Amino acid sequence: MEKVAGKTAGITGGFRLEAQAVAGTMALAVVAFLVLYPIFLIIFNSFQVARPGAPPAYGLEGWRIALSSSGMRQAVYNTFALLFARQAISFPFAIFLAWLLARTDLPGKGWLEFMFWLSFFLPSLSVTLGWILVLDPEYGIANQLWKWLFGTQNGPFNIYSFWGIVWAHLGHNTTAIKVMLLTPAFRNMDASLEEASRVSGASTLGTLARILIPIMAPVLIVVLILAIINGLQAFEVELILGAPINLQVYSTQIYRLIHQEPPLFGPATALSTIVLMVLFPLIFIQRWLIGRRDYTTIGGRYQPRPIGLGRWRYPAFALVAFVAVLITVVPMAFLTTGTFMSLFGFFNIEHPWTLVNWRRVFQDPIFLKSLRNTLIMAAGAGLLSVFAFSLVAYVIVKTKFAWRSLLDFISWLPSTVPGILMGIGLLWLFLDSPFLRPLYGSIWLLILATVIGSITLGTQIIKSNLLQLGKELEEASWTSGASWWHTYRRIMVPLLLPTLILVGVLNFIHAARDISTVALLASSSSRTLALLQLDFMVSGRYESAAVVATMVMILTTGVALAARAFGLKLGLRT
Amino acid sequence: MEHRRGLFWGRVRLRSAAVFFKMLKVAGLKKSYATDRGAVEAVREVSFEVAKGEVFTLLGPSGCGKSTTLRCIAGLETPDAGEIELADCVVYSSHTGVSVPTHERGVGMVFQSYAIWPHMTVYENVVFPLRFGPRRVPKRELPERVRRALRLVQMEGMADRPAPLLSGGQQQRVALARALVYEPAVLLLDEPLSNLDAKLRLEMRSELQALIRELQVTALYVTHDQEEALALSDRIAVMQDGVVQQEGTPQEIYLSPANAYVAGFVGRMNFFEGKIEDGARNGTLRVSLSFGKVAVASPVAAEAFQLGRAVVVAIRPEDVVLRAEPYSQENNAFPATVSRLLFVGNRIQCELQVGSCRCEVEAEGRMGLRLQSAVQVEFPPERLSLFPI
Amino acid sequence: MKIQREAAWVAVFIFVLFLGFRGNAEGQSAWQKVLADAEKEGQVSIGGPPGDTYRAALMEEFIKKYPKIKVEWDGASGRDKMARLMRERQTGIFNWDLYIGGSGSPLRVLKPIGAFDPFRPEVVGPEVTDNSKWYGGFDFGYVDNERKLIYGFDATSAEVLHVNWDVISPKEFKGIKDLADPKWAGKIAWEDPRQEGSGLNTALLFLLSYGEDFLKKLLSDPNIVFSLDRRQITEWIVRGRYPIGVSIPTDLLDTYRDKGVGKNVKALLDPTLGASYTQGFGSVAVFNRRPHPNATRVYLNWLLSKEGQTSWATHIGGRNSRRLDVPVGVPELVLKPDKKYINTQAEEYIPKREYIMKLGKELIRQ
Repeated sequence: MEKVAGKTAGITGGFRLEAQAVAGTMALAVVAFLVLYPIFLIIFNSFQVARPGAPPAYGLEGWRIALSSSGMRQAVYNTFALLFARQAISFPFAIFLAWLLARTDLPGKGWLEFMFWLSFFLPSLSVTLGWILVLDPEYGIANQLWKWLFGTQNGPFNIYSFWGIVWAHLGHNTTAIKVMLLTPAFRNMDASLEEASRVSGASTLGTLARILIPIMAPVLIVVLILAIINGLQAFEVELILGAPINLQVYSTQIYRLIHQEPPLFGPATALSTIVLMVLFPLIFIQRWLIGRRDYTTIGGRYQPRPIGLGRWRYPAFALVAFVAVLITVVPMAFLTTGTFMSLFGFFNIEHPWTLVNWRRVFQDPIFLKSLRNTLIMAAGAGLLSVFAFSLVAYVIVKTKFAWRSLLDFISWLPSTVPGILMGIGLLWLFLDSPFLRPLYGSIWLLILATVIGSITLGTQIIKSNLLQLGKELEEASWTSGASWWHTYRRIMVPLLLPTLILVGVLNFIHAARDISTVALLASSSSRTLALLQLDFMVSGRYESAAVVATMVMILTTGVALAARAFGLKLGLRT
Repeated sequence: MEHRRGLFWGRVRLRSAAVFFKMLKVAGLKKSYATDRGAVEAVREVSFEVAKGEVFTLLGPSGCGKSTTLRCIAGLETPDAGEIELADCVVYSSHTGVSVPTHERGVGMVFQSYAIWPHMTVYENVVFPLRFGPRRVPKRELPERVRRALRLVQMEGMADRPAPLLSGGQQQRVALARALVYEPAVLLLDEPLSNLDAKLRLEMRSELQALIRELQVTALYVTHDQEEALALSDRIAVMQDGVVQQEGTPQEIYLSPANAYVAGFVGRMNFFEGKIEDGARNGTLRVSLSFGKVAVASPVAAEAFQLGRAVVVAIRPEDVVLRAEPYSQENNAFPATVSRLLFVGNRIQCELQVGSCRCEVEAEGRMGLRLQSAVQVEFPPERLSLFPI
Repeated sequence: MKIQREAAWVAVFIFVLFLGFRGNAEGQSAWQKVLADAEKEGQVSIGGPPGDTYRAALMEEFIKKYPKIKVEWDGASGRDKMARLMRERQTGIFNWDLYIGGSGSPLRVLKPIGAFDPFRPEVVGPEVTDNSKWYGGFDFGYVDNERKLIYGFDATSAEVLHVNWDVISPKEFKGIKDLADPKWAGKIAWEDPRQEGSGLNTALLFLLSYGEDFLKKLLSDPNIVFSLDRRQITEWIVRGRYPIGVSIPTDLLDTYRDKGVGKNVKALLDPTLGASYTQGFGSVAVFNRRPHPNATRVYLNWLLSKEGQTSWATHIGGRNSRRLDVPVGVPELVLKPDKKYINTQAEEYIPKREYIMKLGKELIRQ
């Protein structure tokens, strides 16, 4: 009976089973190669203990150093301590903010959500530079204001500290991404579940705590795990803010090991393998949660009516607006201010303001070249990601390809490896494989690297959208006589188009501001703006760095604004 | 808006000793929404009263304002104007500025989607109002109260079952149990049966009716299904466009509709347009229709219909007398041909062509009718209703 | 008879002249051949120091003189380059002709994997190797032990200690030994010697001049701030936060002083400290299996010539070339003729440097 059904399905329309298998196998092979091989190289090289130039020798020396050296352990401890501090503060706050935005009659919701969207796209290095001007212990504006107001010797704020790093993350990316992911999910919850609670006697806040949060628990956990995985990849902020106080985290420690002379790949890869093993179970949890059927359907015939906040309306608005401004306008404004300073951070010298930084950077041919490289790379990454991820997502969701959950699993892996190590793995991959070697040194390498590095989020977004579309739309097309290709072109693609554009935009921006993945891969001809900025910062020329940072920021926010104007929103649908 | 403490069951009990005590009073309710196309008046001017133990139904199509009215009573919406009293306690008044928040009103509500919390078991769902509502109950009494409520809806053995494992019908029962567990002053039901399949719906309808009668609970029911309304209610208010078109018992609504809208909405109705030909003469009006003249016996407000007035004559399909062969020459009898036939088992639903008009008729199943047969229809004068156009 | 003898002498004289002339022409045409081949190769690939000043000095000036030879310039920082270079060579990709930059990376990473060819044979230009034009003679510049591979054309003496004299009085702080004085707790910052850099250079110098105990005392001092951020320690000293700075980068310091900040931050010269010098980014080596051998020679020739070294000395602030006939970049830091200097970046000191880094990891509590 089943056999007959299968055959019929193949004949009447749609994607024939054999063709499914071919496409699926191809997708699996390519993705597995590009993702697993670098990771395998990383793990493999953690056992390589010979000095460079000597023939390869294997042993556990790298592991021994990684596990026993106090610097390493301190770095891992710092990583998790920072992560915990960040999540503990931002998570409850983000839930509260998302609830306010999604389910109450908070005024100005549209604008506020937009500002969180904007904050998500600001590059972290640019934002950090802006915050340095505010919170530097010596010249930071906040400290100067404090000293002026309260007459103390020193201001209390110090961005070069544990809590400074926490702040730099909170005040930029951490809260924004959670708010952006949670708000649509909250919005989609059946309002009558809350209303039933209110009618049964629970107050507004009681309903929030007893009904909304437990029901949303799967979504919350997914977002938390995403946040943890992202947090482990944090690199640029710690590099800049941690250097003066020698606070190392996992990713900067790896960076330092690789920058030893000779580079210590052994302990670096051992360290990353350890963390990879820690993250492994998180992937399984994620997949399990997202795969479960979500039982909070959108029900009811009416629009979910917002909960009235009554006299708390304007105070709540003030709070959210304050946070929104703090994470967008403040760092952007200060960063731009910094570009006009002749000495970064010195407000009290004779001629503190100048245009010479801008002139110098613009006249530098390397800058224009980097700009061009960045645009090409980001556009290439955006386009390639749309094609690749939609194909992978399609195979996972819509075909009966036998290995599709393996494909899905593999697509999660790159998010668990920090950018630097992915970069190294890819470097080795490209040098080792003969048919990829011609790409070495070109911008294609960078495009491929950023696309591979960001496969997880993009695939998940397209997947969830495909799942929502359901089978009937396709089936209606097939029974009306359209072939698979026509169905795909005329039904699926137009319906998917907003999502595809969103993924393209996300990847464009991600590629434009990526630093850790491309730091080791970029050759002289393929340097990007973000790397140029890092170069400037590392060699201490913050004035030029600020100019480049502003350019990157303008690029990414410009694209984000354009996307928003076309009505794109980010959402995590379970 | 001033917030006051909610109701107390004890107080309600004392006050509601009188049989005709009005448990729910709604006066002058108004509510409009701002949409992209400007303000939409969902409820324009609604007033009614529900006596204790009565089942009162708001009946109407979607968009007529019935759900909005219900939600205003529950406190989920804030009206623009009007007054709402629950068991003699003002819970909303636009004059005095009172607005009691939802969780203090002490009503019980069954939602259209049941709104059973998926992360809890049946027991936890039902016990919730007793734990957090305005009428808290000491802990040791909780299991017994829940058991009682579940027994009412025949879900007694399911207390520990997790909510997601319940079928649609079971969810509905749990929703009902939850709404009733703290013996609310008023039970609000928002189209509770519309998500069930047809057979289950009929079953649940009679169970619901039996339960409400047994408990003698005051209920406000909202539905668009007129059959349901007629079966369940003590009194019905037919709503359209934000106002009540007619309020009355099911018999009044069905047999004496106040206007063409109510007539057409409740039950099926044939409408024929025509003109008044003859003035009122011993209680009978003559109307000329396109296929002939009919006599309408004692229409309501006969004086309002002057000569020449354009009117609509209405008659229920089951009131039309159908004869297989034309043999009578009585008044209100006309020849017709069968244009459509639908055999539904116990009856035949026919569509006849009378002149240029169509007429729906219900005939006995055993009547031998065929398409294009010539028949005779008779419209008994006392069964005809007359409405101005 | 007399005329015949004179004629013979004239003949011999003309013959010798002719020989000499021909010899010169040969030398000339050999160079022309190299140049012609280099132009046919069309490109020279250099891994150079980071930053636009170095690029301007070493690449753009060269192009002005030899427009037919393109320069592919990789200005990534040395450490970033190393990982890549190593792996490239391992997999058989040989893209690079020359390395120019700090001597640490080539000594520790590239020399052990045999990446370099002997340097001297590649320097073919006529006046480049003239011993009288170089401090210590041409061969003085080698940094590696065998004196064959890595050549330093820059030599600038090092200022290891700076003090902000606005904050600290010269009467109180006199010399390096004062660093150990507990009076200055919380006032000293030092570029982290646990990593390659000028902080490590200074630590080496302390070790050589004052012995291990002094160095250990300093490294275990919990009040000394060891920072990886060069800009930070420069800013700290300029603002007076940490008014005593060890291994302050003078190029960064100059950017502040140019804008009028920190004018009173000056180096403290302690005669008890051995004099030292470094090459900065001014060392060069030739890769083996290089793709453009002739272009390499042309470039090297230019680099070590008066023009190349003038370009170096004038573009790069705060450095001096080892050539004696080019402008001096920083007069105070030029190497004096008869003085003995220690090259802290020479290969012979690498074991000691590693030892200090190990000490640092053990003793520094931060």
